[in-house]
Amino acid sequence: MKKTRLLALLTAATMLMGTASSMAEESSHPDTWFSEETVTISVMRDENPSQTIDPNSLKVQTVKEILNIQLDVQTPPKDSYADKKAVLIRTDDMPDIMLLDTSDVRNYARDDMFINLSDYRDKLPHLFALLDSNPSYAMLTVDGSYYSAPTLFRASPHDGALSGQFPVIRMDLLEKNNLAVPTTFDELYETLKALKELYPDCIPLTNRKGGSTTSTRKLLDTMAYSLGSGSTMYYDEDLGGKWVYGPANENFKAVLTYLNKLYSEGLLDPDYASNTVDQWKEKMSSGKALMYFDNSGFASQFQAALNTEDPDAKLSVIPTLTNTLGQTRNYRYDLDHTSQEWVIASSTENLDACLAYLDWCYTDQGADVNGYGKEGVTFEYDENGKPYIKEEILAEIAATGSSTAFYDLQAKYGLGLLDISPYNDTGAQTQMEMYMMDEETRANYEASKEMINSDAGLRVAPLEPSLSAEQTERYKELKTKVEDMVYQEIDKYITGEEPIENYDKVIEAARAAGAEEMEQIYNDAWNAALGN
Amino acid sequence: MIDDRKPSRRIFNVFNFLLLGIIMLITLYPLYYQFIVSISNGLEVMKGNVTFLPQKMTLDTYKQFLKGDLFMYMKNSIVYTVVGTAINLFMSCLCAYPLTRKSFSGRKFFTILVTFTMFFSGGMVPLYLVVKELKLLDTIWALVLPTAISTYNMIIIRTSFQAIPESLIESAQLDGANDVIVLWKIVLPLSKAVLATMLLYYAVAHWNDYFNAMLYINTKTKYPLQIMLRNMLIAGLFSEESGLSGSVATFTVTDATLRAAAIIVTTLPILVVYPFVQRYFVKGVMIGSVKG
Repeated sequence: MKKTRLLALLTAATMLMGTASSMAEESSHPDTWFSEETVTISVMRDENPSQTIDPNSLKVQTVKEILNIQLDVQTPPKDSYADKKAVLIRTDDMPDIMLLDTSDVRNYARDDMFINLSDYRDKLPHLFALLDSNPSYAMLTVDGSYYSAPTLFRASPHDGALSGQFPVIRMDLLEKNNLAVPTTFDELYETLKALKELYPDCIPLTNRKGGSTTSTRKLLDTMAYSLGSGSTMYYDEDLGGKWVYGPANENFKAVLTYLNKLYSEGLLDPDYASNTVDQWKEKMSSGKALMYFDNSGFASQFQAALNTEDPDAKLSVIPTLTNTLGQTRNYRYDLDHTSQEWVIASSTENLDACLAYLDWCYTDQGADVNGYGKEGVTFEYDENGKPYIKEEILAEIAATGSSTAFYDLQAKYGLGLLDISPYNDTGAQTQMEMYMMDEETRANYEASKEMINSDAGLRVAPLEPSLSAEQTERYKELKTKVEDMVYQEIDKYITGEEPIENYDKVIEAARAAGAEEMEQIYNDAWNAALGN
Repeated sequence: MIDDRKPSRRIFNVFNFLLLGIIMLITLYPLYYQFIVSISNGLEVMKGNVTFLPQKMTLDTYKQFLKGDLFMYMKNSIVYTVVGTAINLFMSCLCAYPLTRKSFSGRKFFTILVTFTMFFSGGMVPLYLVVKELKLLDTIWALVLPTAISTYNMIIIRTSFQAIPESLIESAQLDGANDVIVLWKIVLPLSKAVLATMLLYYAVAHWNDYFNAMLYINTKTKYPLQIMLRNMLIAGLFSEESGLSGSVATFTVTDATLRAAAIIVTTLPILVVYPFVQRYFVKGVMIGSVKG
């Protein structure tokens, strides 16, 4: 009897001491900690050559301070990441958390390689709050479940000008010659014609080769949507909201007609079908070419080159042009990078830590850390509670005179899209860029930002619907066939070798060869995902 | 005896020199071009002004280059190459020698077995699993052990060993030399040329290897140079969105100049070593091709 009482007393005492000690410990660390003991989880993503990733960056240290989770960061180089991830997945040797692209997720999710995040909704409240806020994210699901967390962006007061594949033209030459800024494609034709007369040695409009596609394809990828159709499968709001295979539709003739008109009068680069990236850069930065329709981010680089000889040279984005079908539309880049998706490996031994870390990434604090670094060290909050990078941090990077200052900033502290940042904003980048600008450039930048960000013609391309395994197989097969067929023909119509009337036959053949079925597959999957 | 004073001979020589000279220029120019690009101003390169001479010379590209952990990667590469090549030569000789000994009873069988690997392999995934199960992942051994013997090179060594007269070895054996002594004191000293050639083959292969490192190495500080350079070259070349931001007045360093500098830095060590091994090289390759 006595023994039992003693035992009970002892137990009570230990329990008390236990609580006391745990309370003491709790007060010594923030309650955001995942557990008492540091848990290490491995995280892998590819390293982009533009921005190196420091496995022990300030960001990684900050994550440990906040969550008591140590990230074991592994960063194979970008160019060989495809091989690396294929081997890791197939040999079941994945790190705990890994960055994949949409096709990987769709390929392997059905083999149970990844944790089904939808099963852990309750443990991922912040992630799912974001996913539920936008119905189009449903396109990221595989068989109705989320197996991955997409890379998302939130709005920031520091956000800069939207970017995309915009028309960029030598504004100084328009101003000098009293040419009005074109607002429609027809006016653009007149403008280019006038420029050609004034500068007969110049190429009014040029283009470049795509990363893995031909120059012709790149030209259409950048211009076809704005001209009223699309270069491949795309979602057309103006046709009543459905997926359409561009080159196999009537509207594509408007695109070809317009490009043919430019080509036949020497307004489109005669080498448009063979231009390389280097040739494109050379033409734009030597002043040989006067306009491109592509990534607006290159304009500053070309302008800097032009300015070494002609300080007045100015390349500017012009507002979205109205096409010959009466539509005013163009794509801009989505701020979200939903094709970059974070998965948790089914084989992980630290599932709870992975879930906790991933969900924390989608909190505002997570976005602040991933986008701005450590409070008090690299950033502060303004009176509205919005983070901003401290001026001395910006000054320090600016002092190096580097031409890639914002990559340097982000590399130094482990920030931004190219680091391990499932959710953040572009505030740090814009702040750094603005800091590097002189008065005049900043004024120009602000004006162009104002113009672009209020351009009603700019749209974001919707996410492609998620297909089932059989649909994917069938779609791929058809796409290869149809694409090969169509793109053999397109150059003939741009150069005028074939009259545009004959294109009806191409449309007919493409639809018969599978374009019809491809559209069917996409629209069915799209409607299914939206629950229509 | 060829008389160089004969007119026909002279004409031949002129054309010969001309032709070879042109071929040499064609071969050297790309390398020379990369060199002048690497020391030119990035903007001039972008404008297409650099063809024969560097424009607005600058060393900024190399400075930017050295800013990174270039020396760490270079050190790794050198260690992998030296250790790897040593293992390669040692193992290849050990494998080649028995296959030349007529007294070795399973000779034919093992030769076929070894040759078999030249045509069939398990593939990437099984190999990765073997390396993983042997706990070699993320260590230097993953880079040097699975590639310890290149069958092709081993067969060249074997052929060259075979060329050594049997009687020479027999007489050594009569004097009481065992196989180890025969290999070490007789066969190897007589095969210097082929060994030098193999040294070069193996060393270049290790120096250029990025794939195994990419596959088996996870820690950044253990990466060889090639991984970083390749990333810079290939990924940089095809980056869709490398439009630089901001308004920086001087683009002295651009993708193109960095790429060129990377090429120079990678090829330089091989270029430096090559002349010293070259005299063995021609001889060594010949030995492999002529059956003794």
